[in-house]
Amino acid sequence: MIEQKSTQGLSLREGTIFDRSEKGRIGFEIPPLTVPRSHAKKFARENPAEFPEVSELDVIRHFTRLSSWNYAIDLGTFPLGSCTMKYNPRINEEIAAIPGLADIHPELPPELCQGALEVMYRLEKALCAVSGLDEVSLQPAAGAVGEFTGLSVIKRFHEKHGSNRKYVLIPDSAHGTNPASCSLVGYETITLKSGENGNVSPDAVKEALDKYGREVAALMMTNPNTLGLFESNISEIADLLHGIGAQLYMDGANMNAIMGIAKPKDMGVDVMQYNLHKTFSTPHGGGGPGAGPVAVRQHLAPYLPNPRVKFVDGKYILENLNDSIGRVKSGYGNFGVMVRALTYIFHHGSNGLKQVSRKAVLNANYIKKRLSEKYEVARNAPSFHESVFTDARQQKEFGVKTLQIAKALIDYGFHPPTVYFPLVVPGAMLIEPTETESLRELDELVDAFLDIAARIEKGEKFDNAPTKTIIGKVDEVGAARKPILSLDDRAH
Amino acid sequence: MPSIPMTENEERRVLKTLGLQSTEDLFVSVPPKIRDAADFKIDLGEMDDHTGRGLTEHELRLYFHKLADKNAYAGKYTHFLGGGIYDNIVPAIVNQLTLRGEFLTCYTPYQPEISQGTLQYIFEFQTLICRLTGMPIANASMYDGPTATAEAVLMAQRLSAKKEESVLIAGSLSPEYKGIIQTFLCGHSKMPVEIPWKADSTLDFDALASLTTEHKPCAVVVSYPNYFGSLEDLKVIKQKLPADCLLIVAVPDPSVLALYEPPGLLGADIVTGEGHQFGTPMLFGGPHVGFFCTRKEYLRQMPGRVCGETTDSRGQRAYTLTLSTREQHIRREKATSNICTNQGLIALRTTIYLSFLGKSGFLKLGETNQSLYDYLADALEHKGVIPQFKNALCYREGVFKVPNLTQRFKKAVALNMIPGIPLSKYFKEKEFNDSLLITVNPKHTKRDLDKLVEVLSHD
Amino acid sequence: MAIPKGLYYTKEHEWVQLDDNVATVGITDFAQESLGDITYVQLPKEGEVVKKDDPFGVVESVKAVSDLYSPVSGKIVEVNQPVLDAPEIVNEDPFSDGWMIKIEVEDESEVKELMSAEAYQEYVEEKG
Repeated sequence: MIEQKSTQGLSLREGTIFDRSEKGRIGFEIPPLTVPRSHAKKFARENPAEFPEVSELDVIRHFTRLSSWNYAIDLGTFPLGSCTMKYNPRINEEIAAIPGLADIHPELPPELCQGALEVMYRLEKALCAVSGLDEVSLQPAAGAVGEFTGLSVIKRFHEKHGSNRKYVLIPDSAHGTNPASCSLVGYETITLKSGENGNVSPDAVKEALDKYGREVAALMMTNPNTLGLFESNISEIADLLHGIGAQLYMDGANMNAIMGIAKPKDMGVDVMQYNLHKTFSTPHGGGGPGAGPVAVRQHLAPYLPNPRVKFVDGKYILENLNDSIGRVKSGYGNFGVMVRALTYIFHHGSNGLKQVSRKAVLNANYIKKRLSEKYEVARNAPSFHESVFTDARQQKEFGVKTLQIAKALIDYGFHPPTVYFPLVVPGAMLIEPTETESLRELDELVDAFLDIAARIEKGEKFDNAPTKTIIGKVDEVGAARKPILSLDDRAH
Repeated sequence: MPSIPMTENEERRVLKTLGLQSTEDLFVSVPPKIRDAADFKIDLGEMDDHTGRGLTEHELRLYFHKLADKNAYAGKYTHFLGGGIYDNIVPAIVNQLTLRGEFLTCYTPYQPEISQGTLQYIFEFQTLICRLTGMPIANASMYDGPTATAEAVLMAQRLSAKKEESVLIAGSLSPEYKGIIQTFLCGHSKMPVEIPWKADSTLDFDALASLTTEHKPCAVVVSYPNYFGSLEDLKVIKQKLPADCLLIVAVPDPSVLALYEPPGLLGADIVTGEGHQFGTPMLFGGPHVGFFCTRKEYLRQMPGRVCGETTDSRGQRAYTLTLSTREQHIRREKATSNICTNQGLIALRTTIYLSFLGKSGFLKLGETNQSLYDYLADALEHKGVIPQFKNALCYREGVFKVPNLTQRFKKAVALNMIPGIPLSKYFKEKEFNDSLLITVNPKHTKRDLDKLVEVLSHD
Repeated sequence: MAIPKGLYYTKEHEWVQLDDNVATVGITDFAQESLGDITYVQLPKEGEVVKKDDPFGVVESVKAVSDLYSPVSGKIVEVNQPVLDAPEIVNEDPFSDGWMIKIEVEDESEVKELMSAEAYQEYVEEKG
């Protein structure tokens, strides 16, 4: 067994913040009143909200202790496939906190927020450059909102052209948000069986188009797909769709693999969403915030969300389009995320961004090569930024499954890969190292995987893994049967 | 490039391991036509030296500080802007704690063993939101107030047994909330019908009665307070709704709940709102944090993530994401929403802020906003700038008729003051021509208010 | 894995027991085992009318969710309240205490068209 990264240390127990409360203790102070005190004249609240009464140090200790129970990119490799957990450069945080970029109200007249509008304009232009597409809306608050927005744009486009279409084709390897977004827009989804390599085959598309014809509004596909493979037939598929007026939507979740290597527009893509929190390194922050800008070809631009930023006569202005689908987010979207993404893009420049994708692909292939020694590779085709392994060997011979392998990895000091996704690969382990990991870190990750495989061969089952974490296996069944969702549920 | 560690030597080592001549060999699956056209150029504006290189940290600071200076930010301009986004004082520890890498650079807490920090603060967030709104359950947060409200409408439609899925919304709802609800409904139902307001800007009960009879809505959406700053009588509204019609209450400014009865105690079935003012700057509109609460019986139809308390194999208290069968990654096209995650970091800021502000601090926050507003409203009226809605009961903001608004607005800006939101931007009716929505915040002092009165009451 | 004789089975892994014109419906041992620990059961109200193959309820485990499809058409005359409060009953005793609903059957021939225990056994083995 190799030396594990996880070790013993002083990890402190901590109740909820409410456990620290002491009646009458004052925390943060609001400035003293400079005008006469007044109160509610009607509907006055009878019982004040029972918030904790704690000091500044209480709050600091509480949340610092909580933070120590989290695994994070800052602590070690986070090979979570399809999530692009790359390092978040700290200059992004510093820039986003500049008062002139943080303390601005979205209702400022355009002439009083030219700097903010320039951030948006430049980011739009950068995202156009990378994708080759013509226009971008930064408004969607997350990848899923980006999907909703892109599909709404497609729907509006069809409506404006007098065609009410019903279906969106989605390969079975797609992320769960894809079909959920379709439902939200009011489209029915037709699932396409993906080919051997997780690819969408033109024949499957042809078959679906023959069956549903001009009822098909669009095809949604991810490229590179969720198995980390490039969809080589994408242009052919685009032509098939365009032949009947349907649109090609590309889920841009995996853009980190193809910057400077392939442009969506050249593939025939009509609309796509970016995930700024993936490709452009804005922090995932335990689940958000993100941003999911939508890029489109010119013919879809009139339907993008309002308002649009334009540069006219040396000034940035806001414009509302008549045919727009409307708003999908308050303000202009997640501006704070845009500032970080633009900082990252400017920090890297054209040359740097192209290196990002090349190095991400190199790292993924390096891991694939080394891990294939002990783990079954799901598909034997050249990988892009991530690759899929399975538990086939470990399960068949030793009865150890992906879940145990993933949990065992935690004791070695690593975050597990994405497991059991894509759904089309049984026992999948999806590994995405990103370009920000050094070879030394990757070797350590691989060594841990190989060590686990070796121990499995010696008969270890890892049923109780992880053993070194602050808590053991969680009773998820109990949590779901009798939900306790707030402190006030405890008593019942 | 500091964020890409691979050296040329290492690249050769990797290629050797892979048995490849060049990195280009990894891209053979990209058709040549696409591969050959893939180059791009990012325009770095005035900082561009046309070499394709990126900017150094120093250059980034120069560039972005210059941009920042072109914005009328709160430290430079005294502003009276609100309408859904509210300026507030952010305690130093909120920034310090949220910058901890363990919070900043972790992922959605799918692996509970190594995510207890995130999970526990989500549980605390849910508890705080329940106590804030008087509702029994809250989710782990949503993108913002308007999208949370749109999700509430979709949830009401899912719960509705009726085929007709009409929804009524108060005309006094914020234009952004209205717009986003419309976009979200576009996919599959009729557009919401607006309920007019009375002279004091609160809901017109007669119209409510006739519209509910006519449309048989599955839900009615009202804002508390409404976009014009007035508080609605939620209890009466609830009484006037048919039993199968849900009352959705949007709370764009939850600091109101320090002083006023929470919607959960007044009959609301779903309560949504925007929590950014609790520890997150205005950020030109985002990222912010929506909250979403409902009754226990509707739990399974609630969108978004939820965190639950349970135990671990060692008998310790532990937290985990739960009830995920409602979500897109399991239910796919049948999911309650396509939302993938919550606003983790902003929910953390909210949790830290509300904990630090505490029970008494929260009361003071509400009192400060109310007191500043009441003083300002009196002073304005005294100088002939009268409220548009007579006898409106307002919290922290209200609409005033400002003579020669355009001119006086300009004069204010020249004095580094932004006096409010001119409502003609959103309401085309003639009565809104000279209307200004004026909002106070805890940064204001009597002097700021006096100065505003001075500017708005003279040409 | 238990497959009691004398019951009728569906491809959706439900069982039906016919007493006079009342069909008792539940999920099979195979179904409860594939789902894992059941955390939630949602059933319709008494008096509702269901059609054959229509979804009438939901069973959930931590990571999976499955719609329940009515094997026959008719009116729901009884709902098993205890499984709503304690869904683990379905895991423990799927063929008896873990039943879901009773339907007053419109057309008994619909029941007769379902699989026998032997046919279901074969169906499960083929699939599994």
